[in-house]
Amino acid sequence: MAQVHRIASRPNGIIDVYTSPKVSLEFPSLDALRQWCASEPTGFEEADLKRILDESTKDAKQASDVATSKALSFDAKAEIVKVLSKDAIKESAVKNG
Amino acid sequence: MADALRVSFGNAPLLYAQSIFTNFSMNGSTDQLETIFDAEPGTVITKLGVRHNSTTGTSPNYKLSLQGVDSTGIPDGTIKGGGSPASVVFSPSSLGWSASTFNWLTLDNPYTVPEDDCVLAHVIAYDSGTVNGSNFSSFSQRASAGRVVSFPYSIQNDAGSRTRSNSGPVIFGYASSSRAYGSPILNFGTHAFNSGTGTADEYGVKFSVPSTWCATYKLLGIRFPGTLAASGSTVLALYGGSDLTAANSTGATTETTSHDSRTFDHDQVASNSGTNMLELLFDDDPRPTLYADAVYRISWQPQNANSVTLLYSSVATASDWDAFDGGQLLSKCLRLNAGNWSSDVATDRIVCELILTDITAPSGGGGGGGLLVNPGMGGRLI
Repeated sequence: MAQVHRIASRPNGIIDVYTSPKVSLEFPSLDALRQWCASEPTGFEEADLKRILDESTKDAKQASDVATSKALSFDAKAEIVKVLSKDAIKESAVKNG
Repeated sequence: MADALRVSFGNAPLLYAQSIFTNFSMNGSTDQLETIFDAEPGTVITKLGVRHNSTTGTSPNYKLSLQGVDSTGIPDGTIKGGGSPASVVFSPSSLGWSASTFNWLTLDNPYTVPEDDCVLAHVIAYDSGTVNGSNFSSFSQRASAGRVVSFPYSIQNDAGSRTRSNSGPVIFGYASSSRAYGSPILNFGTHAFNSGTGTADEYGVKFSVPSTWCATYKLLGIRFPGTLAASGSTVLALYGGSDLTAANSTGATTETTSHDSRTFDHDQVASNSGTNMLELLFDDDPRPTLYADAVYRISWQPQNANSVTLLYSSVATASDWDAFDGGQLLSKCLRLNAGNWSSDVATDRIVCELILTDITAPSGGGGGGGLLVNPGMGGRLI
């Protein structure tokens, strides 16, 4: 099952979702991430997306591991995993919060 | 004389991708990002291109090179050119590369692609300097897409452990002194718009077919990926000047005369959700004759608040479109409230194929060339 390693947003709005320490998916915007998530019926709530972005840092150099954020619920983590279970996404260990 | 029936112009399938890049972080001294591709024989390659995703800390020096491909489908480790290697050492930090940019690098030595040996590897490898988890660059490998692509293909080489990918178009480039090749895409994106969109409520494709290809042709329809919201309707229109001749259809922003149109009902589709390929035909009979060297626009104009979503692709500089079908003959256009066309966006293309038909030979030479010549006249298909 695909897992999320880290999520970081850049000041210009680009969002990098790391599925392993070395592989990231680059989304040009929150809207693009939302549209991609909505392209399949995953049940991924928009509120979860907003919370994820709120938890991520604004500077990629200081990006923290969102998956370890104590404010991120287990349900939201599960939804990220489900949404990102798409083609060519590599498995990676999720750090435990 | 046999009709060409249908000739697709614009190659939408290979440009059909979501605006999501898969990027590979090269933070180890034995990491490589490898793209295996066919190069056009006879090409003198002087540049290679990469899409830089981002740099963390200060990048090390990397080496970009052309290599051969072994029988297992991986780079053979031998840089082409022998004593005059087709490679270049670069540092994104030193070059001041911004994040999410496509960049061209001039090789230290050009390489001429021989016939019968055109499978090459475009390889990014660590060269020198500090490289670790705090000092590295990441490069785009491919874009996410709704279709798999098995060749060309990319390989993530993580410290010697290789993973091939067939999901979506690879992102790389090679170039001669006069044109670009490969897939030098900067970005993919979408335009969602309706009749009330304040900035642009009509998007389109500006296009021209040169007189070296044909004398006249007709536009049968278009093929494009998109989303049509339920309960909507869209007018597909063909615009030109006062008439469709090359003298009066020049591509000027004031040329807003509709010469053919078709209203399409959004509910006459299999699905209103997600991105789907659609093929729509203009429904006039007879279709208007279009002329080589004239410049026209095709557009989508939603008729109500229910939107159309189109995909577009962009390159760093307009000449990079030479790597794709149609080159710089197709570009994105837009306007608001049926006014004049805004300035055309030469670096962008709406992902769309034009379906041409009734193509006639170029003036002054039957059988000597052109887009399509009746086989009985000894011509060739370009």
